[in-house]
Amino acid sequence: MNADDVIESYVRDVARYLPRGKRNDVAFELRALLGDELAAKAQAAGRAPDKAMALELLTGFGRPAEAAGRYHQRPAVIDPTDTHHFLIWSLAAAVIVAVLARTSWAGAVGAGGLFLQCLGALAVVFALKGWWRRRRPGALGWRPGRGQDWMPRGLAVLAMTATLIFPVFMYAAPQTFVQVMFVGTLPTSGVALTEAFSQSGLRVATMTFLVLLAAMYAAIAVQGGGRPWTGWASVVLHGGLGLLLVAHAAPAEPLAGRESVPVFQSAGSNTVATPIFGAVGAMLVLCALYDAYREWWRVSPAPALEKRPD
Amino acid sequence: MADRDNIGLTELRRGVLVLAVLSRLRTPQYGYSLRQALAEGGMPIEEGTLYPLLRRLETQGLLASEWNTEHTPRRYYRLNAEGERMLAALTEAWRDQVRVMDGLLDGRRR
Repeated sequence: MNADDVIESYVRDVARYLPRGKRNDVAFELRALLGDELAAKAQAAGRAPDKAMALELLTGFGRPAEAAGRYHQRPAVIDPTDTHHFLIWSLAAAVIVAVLARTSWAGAVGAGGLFLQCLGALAVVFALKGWWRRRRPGALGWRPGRGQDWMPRGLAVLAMTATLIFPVFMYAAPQTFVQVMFVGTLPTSGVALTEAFSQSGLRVATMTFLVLLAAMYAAIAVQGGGRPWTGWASVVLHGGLGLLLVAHAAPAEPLAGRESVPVFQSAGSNTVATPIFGAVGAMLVLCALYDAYREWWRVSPAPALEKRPD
Repeated sequence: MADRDNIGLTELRRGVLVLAVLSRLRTPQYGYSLRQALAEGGMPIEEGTLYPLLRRLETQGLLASEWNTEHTPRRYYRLNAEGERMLAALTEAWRDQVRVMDGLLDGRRR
């Protein structure tokens, strides 16, 4: 292989990375330019061009893909500025798939296949997002946010009231709740609790968490907004509540080594309610994990003070 | 430290690369001759940077090019009317920047 063969090979490889319409034109010019450069190099060295001289010249030009990139820049599939969020979402997908793999929900695809599907879906979403931004500059632009502590008094009072009425009241006295909400038009026997569940520690713990949640909203209303401690309190309360609701849906034997305690006296009600308890609990756990991530990455601009020597 | 100096110098030169190239293309030049002309003028540019830049400037409508195949086939570039206008505008902007920078570096108030 002589110097011309080396240059020909390089030009061919550069052209392969270019759009079809540009290939011949760029390749023709690049070959002429490299020929000039090589001739000058040979003249300076005082000898005929050889393979080593051509390779040295091309090393300075960079890999064919890099050289082609200077002639025609292709957009990245995922914008470099989106890399951080892509990795975060990928990590979240891995956690969810790992949790699902502990159940039978991963199905026939299996956890590995499900994770690959998630990664593929994320890649498509981020690629479309980048494509849309390039197509419509200014679209999907930044908008100012209120910050994670934002919760005006009115909203906090509404959240507290809603928590007291819906989950607290409903959970504390389901029959009275149905009677009041449906003005006595529906039978209440379907939501009658079993004696064992009524007196269980699970119910006491769940009630405690629900009341604490309402108390947290009350505190936010008094303070006129969230604080870092309410952020972490929300993580603990929602996470704990989620786990307790999942426990409502899970059979007790493998967890506590004792017989499962049905929530309702009616078998039909238990059949309907069990997956709802599980789904709501899992959703609350996911929300708590997301809130924990936000708290962990909370930005509180302040000067970085160096520790003074003792 | 020397590496840091080089990074700063590279950044500085990157900003004036287009102006330097346009300034040498009042007369037709092919790639290698242009690189030589720039090097002789004190502005050496890597071949891998210069040649794609010429194509980009042509795509942007600032240069015209034609092949000369009488001897070794070579593509000659020169300024077109839009390139002349851009060269004049960039020259004026450059001189203004030099005045500003001189003022900043000498610590004078504008």
